[in-house]
Amino acid sequence: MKPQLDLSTVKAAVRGKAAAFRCRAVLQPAGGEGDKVFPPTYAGAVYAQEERRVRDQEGNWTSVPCVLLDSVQSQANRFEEALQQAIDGGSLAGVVPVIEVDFSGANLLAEVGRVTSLEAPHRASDAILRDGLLDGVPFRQSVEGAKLDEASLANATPLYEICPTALIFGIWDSTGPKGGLGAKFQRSLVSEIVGINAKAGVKTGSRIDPLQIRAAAKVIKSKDGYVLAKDDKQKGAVSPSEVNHGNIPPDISVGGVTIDLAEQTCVLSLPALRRLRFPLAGGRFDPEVDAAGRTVLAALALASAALAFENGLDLRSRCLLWPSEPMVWQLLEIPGKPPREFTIGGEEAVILLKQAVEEAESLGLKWRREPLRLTPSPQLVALLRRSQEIAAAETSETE
Amino acid sequence: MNCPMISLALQYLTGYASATDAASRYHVEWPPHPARLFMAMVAAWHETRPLGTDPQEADEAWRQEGAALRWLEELPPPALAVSDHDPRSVVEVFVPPNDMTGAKRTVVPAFRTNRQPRTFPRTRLHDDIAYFIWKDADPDPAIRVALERLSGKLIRVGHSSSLVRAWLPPAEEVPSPNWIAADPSVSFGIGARLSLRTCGPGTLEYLEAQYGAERNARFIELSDSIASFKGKARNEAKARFEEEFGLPWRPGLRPPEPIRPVISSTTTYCQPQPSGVNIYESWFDHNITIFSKFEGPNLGLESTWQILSALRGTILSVCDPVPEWASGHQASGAASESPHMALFPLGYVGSMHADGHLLGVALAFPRNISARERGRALGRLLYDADGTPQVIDLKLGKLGCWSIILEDRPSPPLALRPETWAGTSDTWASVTPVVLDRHPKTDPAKDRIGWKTEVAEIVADACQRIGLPVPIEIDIDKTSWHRGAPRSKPGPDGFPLVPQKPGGPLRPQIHVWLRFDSVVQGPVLLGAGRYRGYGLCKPWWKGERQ
Repeated sequence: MKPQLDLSTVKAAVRGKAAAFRCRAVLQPAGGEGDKVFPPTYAGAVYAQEERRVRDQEGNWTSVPCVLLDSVQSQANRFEEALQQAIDGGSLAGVVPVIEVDFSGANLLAEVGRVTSLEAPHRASDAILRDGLLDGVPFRQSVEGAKLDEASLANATPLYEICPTALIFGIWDSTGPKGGLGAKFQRSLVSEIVGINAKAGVKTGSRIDPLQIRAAAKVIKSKDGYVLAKDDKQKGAVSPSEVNHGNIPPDISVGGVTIDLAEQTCVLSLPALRRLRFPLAGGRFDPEVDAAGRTVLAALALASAALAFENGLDLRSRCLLWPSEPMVWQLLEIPGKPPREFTIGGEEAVILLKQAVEEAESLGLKWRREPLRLTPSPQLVALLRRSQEIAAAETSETE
Repeated sequence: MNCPMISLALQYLTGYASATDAASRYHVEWPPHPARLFMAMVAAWHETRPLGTDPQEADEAWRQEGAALRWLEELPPPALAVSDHDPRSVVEVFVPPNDMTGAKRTVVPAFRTNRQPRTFPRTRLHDDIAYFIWKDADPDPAIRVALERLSGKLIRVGHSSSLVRAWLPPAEEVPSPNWIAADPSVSFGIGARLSLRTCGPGTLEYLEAQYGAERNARFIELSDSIASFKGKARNEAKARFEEEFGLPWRPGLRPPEPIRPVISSTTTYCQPQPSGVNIYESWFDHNITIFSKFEGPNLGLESTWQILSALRGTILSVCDPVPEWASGHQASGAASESPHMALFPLGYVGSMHADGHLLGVALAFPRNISARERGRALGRLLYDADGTPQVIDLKLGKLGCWSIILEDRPSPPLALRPETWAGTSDTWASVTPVVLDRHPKTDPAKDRIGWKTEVAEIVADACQRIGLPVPIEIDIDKTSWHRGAPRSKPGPDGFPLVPQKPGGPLRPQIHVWLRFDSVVQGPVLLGAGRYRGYGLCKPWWKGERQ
């Protein structure tokens, strides 16, 4: 039985010379072993594939085909999603800072709701947040937002206070006042999922029309939908399939793979966290505060991974993976020496995080527990409304 | 290893290395170039610079790390001990932009359709630890301690997802290297060659200048002054700004970006030669003479016969008298029965974007002809009265006119280097097709397998005819194993047939792949067209087939 990861182990790891926490987890399709899964397709409708050397049953080396199931960037998004769900669901509400831009009531064509720093592609430096207002002031000109201009490895406090997840998943404030030398924090948490021994399958797509509308019954598209054509030679007469009626014959194409298993490899780099310094008010540095801040971030990273893991990994349509066994974290300390191993579930990781946060706060390093709520600027709302109109027009043109 | 040495071990924690080849964003870089490691160490050093409020010991330790980097950059390129790898197929990923401007910008993620394509080449390592080994390097204890500390600060080598752990292993844990810097005084080594970016003295200073932290800080300082000053002081600040940055200040001007460093110095690496290995040599001497194209139209390998015929004609007319070993004919006019000089084309083949175009031509000589004899026969062609290499014009009829000159640059393109064609390898594949010395008796339409077997026997004979052993494996195809080489038969993207003597039959020509039981020293020229560029082979390594 592996010991549970506790705060003292994380603290010691962060303060010492250990290189990383690493987890290699085995996952299976939710439909059971041998069920098909659908990897992401890239430009050209291809999968990202590779060969991997494995030992066969006789212990000899052999190569098996593998396929990428979830990329580093996509996994980061899943971990952020898991944190957002925990914030919305309560276990991390009032615990982890997040910046929100609330679009509700903005009189849009389609409701956008709220976009947070966990959802925006470029996190705290995303254009959405940049174009938000805090108490009527453009965010980056507000007291809170302006602090980000001074964020650096030696001054990670501004980001820690309002968007600590950016310090874990990476951020580059290249559109800020310092341009290319703006705040750049490399990701400290890297995760990826690969399907092992992937064999290609086929997929079909079709529609059986319960109304059995015939293709010969032509229609004319109009602004409000369509009207029946007088005959099929009338100008503008098109097949009813153009307005989504009728049968669509099966289309058999290559799709999906079966795999022996999916392997998720997740690594939390401790040197990346040790880069970060957390000055307190007045620019005062304290190595204890630095260590405490790094410990909080380590705990936050581990919690994001544990929560995402336990939620099940719903990667895309027909690609839901479940863990075969609990998450086991190795602590890579001395090269060549077998690493110590630990387990930690989502609930325990949340508790560990809360403990780390409290310790940091006791030393004066505080973060914003409540969301930093921005409102979209009128220009952003107008732009979004116009974008939605353009998108709607483009969609109806292609139908 | 008992000699003094220092090694840095780099463990790729995810089991993958993710670094883009400097020459192509669709290829992964493996093994890691020593220059990339050095740049990662410099970045780690600068990113951990102590602050003014830190204890003095921290500052002293940091300066020692800088001294360690300066010591490291003075060393010769390290040897490497790295495993094989399996690259992932490279796909384009579309990244939503963040710096949108203009009336059509769309900010909500779902509407960001102007995504920028990027690639993230990645490769799965057979063994996730790579070693960089500097033999005969014996640092001071202080330097060693500083290097150890700096190594521990490394986060990644390559892309941000290429997380690593680095340390200085004890000597007894360091494996023997499988890549060493090729000795420049020895042209040839065994097997594959790699060209890796390496650093030298001054690299640290160069990297710092390219990053431009001081320049950026000065920009911000002057901008802040301009924004806060008024009147004359403001104008003076503006004038200073324009003088230092070469452009007038205006609001919203972005600070200068760091300039991406380019390490262009490379070192050729080869695999260490195992002791006691047998090297087979053919009748052709590995000291070949190379000419690069000086002027003329862009021609491909399929023009081999015309170009080399023109060169042969020029040799015969200029170098008078021409000895039998150069002309291939006895004084009576009958064909020589001894090995003689061969001409062959130098085409761009093998690489990802190779297109088979010709960069030059070369001469291969029988091993028993001394350098003095070669010089005596060909000197008038190659050099002018002052002993300077001269341009040689080749009239190619409808193809135009080429001129060539002796290649003597220190770092010519790979196709113009002697080791590309006359190096050593146990596996070779044809670039120009092998013309069979006789017509196979078996009809391929009736007995394909029998025909292939017979052709393989003819090819084996061709190897023996030039003094090589019979290969342990032979494969044949109409397509070359080297990317960019035309197919063996006439047609689009194919070689024309070798003209035969009047009344003689047209002989089949085929591409070949050969594996020997030990290494063979090149050049390897096989078959009936070997003296005029057909049957030219080049070392072949796994993964090269198109």
